[in-house]
Amino acid sequence: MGIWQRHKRFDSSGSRGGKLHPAVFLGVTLLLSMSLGVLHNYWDSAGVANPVLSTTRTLLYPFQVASVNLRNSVTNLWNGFATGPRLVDENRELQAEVARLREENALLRSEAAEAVRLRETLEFTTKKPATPIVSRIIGLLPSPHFDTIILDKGSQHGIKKRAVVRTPIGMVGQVVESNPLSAHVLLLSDIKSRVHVVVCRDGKPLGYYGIVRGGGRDTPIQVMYLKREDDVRPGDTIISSGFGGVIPPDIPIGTITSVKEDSTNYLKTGQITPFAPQPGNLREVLVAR
Amino acid sequence: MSGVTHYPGRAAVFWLLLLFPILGGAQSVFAPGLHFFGGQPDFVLTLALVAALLTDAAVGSLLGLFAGLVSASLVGQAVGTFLVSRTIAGFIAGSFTERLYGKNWGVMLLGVFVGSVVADLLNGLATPRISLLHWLQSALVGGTMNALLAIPLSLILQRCGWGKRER
Repeated sequence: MGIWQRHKRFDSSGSRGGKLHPAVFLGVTLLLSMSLGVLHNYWDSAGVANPVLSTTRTLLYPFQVASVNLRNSVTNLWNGFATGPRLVDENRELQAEVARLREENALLRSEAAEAVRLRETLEFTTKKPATPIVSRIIGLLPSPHFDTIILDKGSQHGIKKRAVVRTPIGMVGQVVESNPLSAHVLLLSDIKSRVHVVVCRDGKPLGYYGIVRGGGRDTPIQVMYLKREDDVRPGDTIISSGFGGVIPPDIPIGTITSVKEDSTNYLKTGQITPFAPQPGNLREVLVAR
Repeated sequence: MSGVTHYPGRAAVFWLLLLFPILGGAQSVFAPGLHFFGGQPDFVLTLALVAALLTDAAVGSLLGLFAGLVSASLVGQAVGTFLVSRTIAGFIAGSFTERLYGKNWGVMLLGVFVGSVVADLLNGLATPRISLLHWLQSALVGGTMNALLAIPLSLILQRCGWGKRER
């Protein structure tokens, strides 16, 4: 016997049973949906994790990890079959070397820019940045309209909301939700993403400020609100300015590929290519503590 | 028909509840690889719609709510919108089977397509993010992919014993 059989409106004798009308059932479930939505907003504004979503994410976590492992195994198997183990090993070594050199390059650039600023201001302070958390991506762009990724580490591992997520070569996004086992990251390409930036040339900040805004999937990332008189050119690079107090300064973001005046003729808008690889090519990221 | 309806048994409910997290995990890993013309399949929503088509509107709205919860957990944004849009889509898919023969392949494809497009458009209306035309294209492409996915999922669900029978 089915578990919902007693909800049948009419039983075999024709008498009225206890089943709700489908419209009433819809009303009840909609009320429940809206209540959960409102409660989520309330908890979010209060800085408290949504217990319903946290529980669901904890339940989903092993299945996400299993899916990623399955994908990686299939990819590795295919790579091994198609190119041979020797080439895979060589490629892995070269990729590791490139990543190390890029990281070293980014660090040197950052240190050079910092040294220039320090010389200019004559404030010689020493900074020791905290070691970032290395995290694997277990979820990628689950919806076509929301550019988010899911990391395999969360608040239990020290990942906090609003932490900057990056690769050695550039910024990827920002943590928007941190659950015990996983964290959600809003990518730079998401339409809600905003980062205050400064334009650089040859590693030196030019003092031209703008805001990097995502345009959604399949749409280029833009740097907006540059002044008309700002001498911004294709090939200039963009780094975070640190204004706003959320995202620290000097995080490389991307290269300007084109610049045009907007319709008001008072401001300029540029398109940028981010330094960080496309989300589909990302496997691990670094999360600032 | 004598009028007694047998809903899915406990084993079928267990398999369905297990399929939700499995497809949730697959959604966040494999679906982006199937992103074409602005749309991509939604495994979790399709599962809820197919299961709703094999039962009725009341069960459909509950399954829609469940699918919304899983999708909202994966995306991490617009939680209320995901919950409400999926609940309505599940109800619509369930209503199909009360008025048409839900196990018919044509009805199954149409039901999943309509349910997916409704869910996506409701999402677009509640949280407008891109142009309406782009959104419509994405909804139509995603709906078509979901409809194609409905056939294997329907076979799996029926194999697991999911589906309402009149005796």
